[in-house]
Amino acid sequence: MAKYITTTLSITSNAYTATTNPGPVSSPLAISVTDLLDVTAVESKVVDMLTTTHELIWDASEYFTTNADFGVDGGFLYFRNLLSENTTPDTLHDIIIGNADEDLDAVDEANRIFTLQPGEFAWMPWDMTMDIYCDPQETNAGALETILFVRTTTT
Amino acid sequence: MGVIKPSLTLTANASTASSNAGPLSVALSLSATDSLAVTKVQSKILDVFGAHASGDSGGILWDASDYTASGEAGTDGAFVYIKNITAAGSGRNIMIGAATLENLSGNGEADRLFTLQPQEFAFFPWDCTVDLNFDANGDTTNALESWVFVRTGTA
Repeated sequence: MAKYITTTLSITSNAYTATTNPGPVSSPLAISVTDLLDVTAVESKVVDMLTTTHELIWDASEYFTTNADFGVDGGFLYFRNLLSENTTPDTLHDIIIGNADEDLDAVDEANRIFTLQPGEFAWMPWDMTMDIYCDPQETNAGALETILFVRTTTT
Repeated sequence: MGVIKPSLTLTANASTASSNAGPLSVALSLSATDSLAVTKVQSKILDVFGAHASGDSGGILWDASDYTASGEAGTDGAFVYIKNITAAGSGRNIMIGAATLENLSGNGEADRLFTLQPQEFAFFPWDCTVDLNFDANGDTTNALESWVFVRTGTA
């Protein structure tokens, strides 16, 4: 039996002339999309950040048995940096997400996919062709929430 | 500088629901919102091709060098929205990759970040440390919509 999740993303902004929270363009923006996704397994975790260790968050080999085929094998990943910004803003509460077991914070590091600043989130499919790691900047408990929804067709 | 407000919701019914049953025994309702300071905004709708590196864009979705000279973690980067806008059931899968411009459809292809099936979308930060590329399993016009919102502070 199929099992479904519904995802909805909206991105809005005011016009740049607005008196509060002006947007980046002359007109207001309102992007809204929704999708119904067929999934099987769900796995959720809240990850502590260990400043001296790159941590394996998602191991691709745990979820398929044959090949990581495009459009067949994979899942959907949700990430959120649960930390708050320090009183004086800095990068210590940033969480770096990448695809290699190494320091990911160097300038132009090619294996760094993105950086989540405090409160930021991401939603993306994952084809399980690579493992997903994080590289903390400081020790913090309960710092990163991430949820994996495995595509139903994954074998 | 401008402000955009992204919002993501993930919902699912309990597995016992009579329609659109979810993957867990309990209903799921997750919501995340944020307020992001950005400067430049760009959007495009692209044709996709079975032969990668075809067409006007040459398979490059976003070129990192267009936005920063040095991809520094927590400082330089952007937020990327990508949607496969081909009709549901079209069978047109679009692969998104990082690093070199290449065929992204191979089994276990390590440079393939993810595959967007028709109507699927993603929203994630991008540190501009690598270009984002695309490939597809066939030719379709007006198939891939993408927006990039450049972080304030990117140099």
